[in-house]
Amino acid sequence: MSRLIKEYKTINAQDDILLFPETADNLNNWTAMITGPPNTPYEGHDFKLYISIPDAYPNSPPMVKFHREAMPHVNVNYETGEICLDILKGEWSPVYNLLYTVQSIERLLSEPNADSPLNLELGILMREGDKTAYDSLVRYYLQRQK
Amino acid sequence: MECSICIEPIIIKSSTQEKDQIYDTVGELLPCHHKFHSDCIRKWHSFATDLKCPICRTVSLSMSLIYNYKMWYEKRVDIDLNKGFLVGNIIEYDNMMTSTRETEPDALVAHVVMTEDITNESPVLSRMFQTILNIDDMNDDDSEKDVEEEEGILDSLREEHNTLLCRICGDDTVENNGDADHRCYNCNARYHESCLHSTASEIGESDTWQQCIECRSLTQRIKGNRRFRIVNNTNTDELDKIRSTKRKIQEHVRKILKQYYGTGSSVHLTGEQFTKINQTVSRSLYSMSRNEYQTKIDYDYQAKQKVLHELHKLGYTSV
Repeated sequence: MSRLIKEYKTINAQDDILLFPETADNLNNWTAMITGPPNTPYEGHDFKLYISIPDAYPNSPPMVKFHREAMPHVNVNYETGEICLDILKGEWSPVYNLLYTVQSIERLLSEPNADSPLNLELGILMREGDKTAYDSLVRYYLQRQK
Repeated sequence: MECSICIEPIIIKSSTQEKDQIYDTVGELLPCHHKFHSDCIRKWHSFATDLKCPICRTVSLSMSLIYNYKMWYEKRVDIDLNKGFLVGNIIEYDNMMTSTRETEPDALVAHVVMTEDITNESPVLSRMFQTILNIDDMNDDDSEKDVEEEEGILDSLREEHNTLLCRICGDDTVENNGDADHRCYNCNARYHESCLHSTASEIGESDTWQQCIECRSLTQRIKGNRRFRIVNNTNTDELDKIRSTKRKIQEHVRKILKQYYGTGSSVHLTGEQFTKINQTVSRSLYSMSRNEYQTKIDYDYQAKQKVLHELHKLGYTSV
């Protein structure tokens, strides 16, 4: 647990990062806010991430989810918010930390990966290489939520 | 210097003036030379599914343990990483398989005709390893059936997982020296007595030769060494049975999966995807079968359902 306290101190010292424990006395559940990257259909939207820390952390990766039915993305299960990202599974390394994890998810928004779709609708569009349709569908989803 | 795993400093000896300071034991991975607290990196190895360096992902071939003692002396001891890191891994894997099985969609398991509740069965691999981990508890229990079972377990362990190998020399026997029958009661590492002696004298602390090189707890010779004499026993029924079950199940899976691979198929799987689906489906069927080929299971049907499920995940919704 002392490693989490260290991470907490480092993150707290930076003021441009929206990553914080849900309550100050419990470092097992964190929330993060990420901003839709420019030049993507996510631009202008903010997304909330729910992070829960397993007991074995950092030997086990943190569990990260979007809010349910909030993130239309080929690597995110729209219904549950579950994220398919290699470093959250088999490619996790104990030298990664929460900040790196959140930044990787932010990067996933601008670099969707067709090889591991959790959103079949978007996966098919992407596989067919129809970026315009992909982006439009994402925008439609986001618009509908407002 | 800081350990990247726990983000704590690594305290090493920097001058001969320092006294009464406790120094950390450093694990240096080779060939990449990245250093960690030895405890941190060994713990990671028990979680990891491979032997890649956490920092640079170079596959580690061995690790040097670097001790820093009060004397001027620093000695490196090479440890072969491939020996003995499997126990934790196997148990973890088994637990994972159990929990995956429990959360599988009902539709997939609904067709299995089973009289017993499969989720109540403790995972076989874990059970095997628990047995080995609690080996001295079993010394009280000498019923024939158990002995037979243990023999199979030990043989298969030795053969498939190398867990009884000495963590210093990485071998299971030394000329005229017998089995690695010194065991650390804290972390279950195995050692040859002679290896412990020579390591201790190399690092200049011959009076603490009985300490486990990994966790520094006391090692002890395993008493009533019957279980190490049965190693050459030919009774490997249990293992043969498990293997033949595995083989039979894999034949079913390959047969189904081949329909979706190569030219003439509407699905374009890469070799990697093929292997992965093959593994996932085989494992799932395997755990469903409880290590025994079940005549009540329609394997072709099950394999097909599971293969389709995996293909759907990859975006092939029309197959």
